[in-house]
Amino acid sequence: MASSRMAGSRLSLAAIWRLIACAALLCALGLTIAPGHAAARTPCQGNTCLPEAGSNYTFEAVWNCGQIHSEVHCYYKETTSLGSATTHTWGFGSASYSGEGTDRVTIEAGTPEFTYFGGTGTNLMRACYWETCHDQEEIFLHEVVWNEGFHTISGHGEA
Amino acid sequence: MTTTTRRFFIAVAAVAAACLMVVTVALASGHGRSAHRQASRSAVAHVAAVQGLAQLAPDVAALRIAHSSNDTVDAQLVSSALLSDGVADAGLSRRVGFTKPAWFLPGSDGQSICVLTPASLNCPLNKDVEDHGLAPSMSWTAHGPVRISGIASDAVTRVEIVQADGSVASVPVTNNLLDYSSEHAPRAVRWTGPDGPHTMVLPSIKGR
Repeated sequence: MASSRMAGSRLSLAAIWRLIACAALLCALGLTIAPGHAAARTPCQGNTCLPEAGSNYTFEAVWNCGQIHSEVHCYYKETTSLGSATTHTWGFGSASYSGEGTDRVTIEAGTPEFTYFGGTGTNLMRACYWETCHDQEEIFLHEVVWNEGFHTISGHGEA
Repeated sequence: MTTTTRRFFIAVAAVAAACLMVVTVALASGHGRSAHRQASRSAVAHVAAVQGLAQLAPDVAALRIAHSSNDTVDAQLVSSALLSDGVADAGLSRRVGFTKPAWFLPGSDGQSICVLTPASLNCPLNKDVEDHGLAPSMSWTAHGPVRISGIASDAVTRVEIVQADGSVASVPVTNNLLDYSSEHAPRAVRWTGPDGPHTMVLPSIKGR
């Protein structure tokens, strides 16, 4: 009984209000920082910019091989050697050139014997395995630059 | 229940309520900020796309016709990987291919024009189309034909396709769209633009 009375006096109304104020302050601090981190996240990484419906994609990758010469293939992940390349169930691929002027780029997905899907065009070329752009089977994906000189081409795939 | 226990529970409940209130306010303002940022980016991209379209329209008749509901890009394509990152402005699309669907969309960078088909997207610079008269691309899917498509300026009305067997097909440009399909990969595209004759040699496609 005596100890209960002592505890009661320790947890007075003033103490409760102080506790509430401190907790609210801590919550506010934590949540002010949290959205800042979310906003700082790079767009289109991970699953954040995958198609919203119907694609069944669960994987996304962006890569380049630095500056590559004309007709050099840059495979996922960042290798110019087919022997070191990694296959995936690519359903979508993109090759883009973001330097000055124009450049012809190609995105191709397939096996060493057969190219399943792809495209070649100026500056930005995107292509899908299916006309629905849905997910599909296990193949290589690489991008190519076609102009003379060395150029950096960004590859982007979803599977 | 003793007074101490009651006060303890009241304290816990009050702390929880305060936290919940702060969480709600913080999340709401976070979402608000994020939505505001996204809306600002979209608005800037839209203005750029409108300007890009205006830049190219004097050279491309299909872009001089106002956008209507008939030009709307299929919702499935808008949400597909081809467009979902907002690389082009689907709200300003012009449908130019009907038997085989195709659209022109201004790029969100304000400098490029995109040619969209159900399985491909190519976005050359406006300047390429203005200077050379045509920006061809080649695409193919796993089970479809090889498709040559591209946006042509009003100066280019006919294009030559050098087919896989070496024969040459003369292909008309309709609605400023070059559109040609073949079972096998053609060898080259030839045309004469405002700056003279051009040949785009096409890469071979394994298995086609």
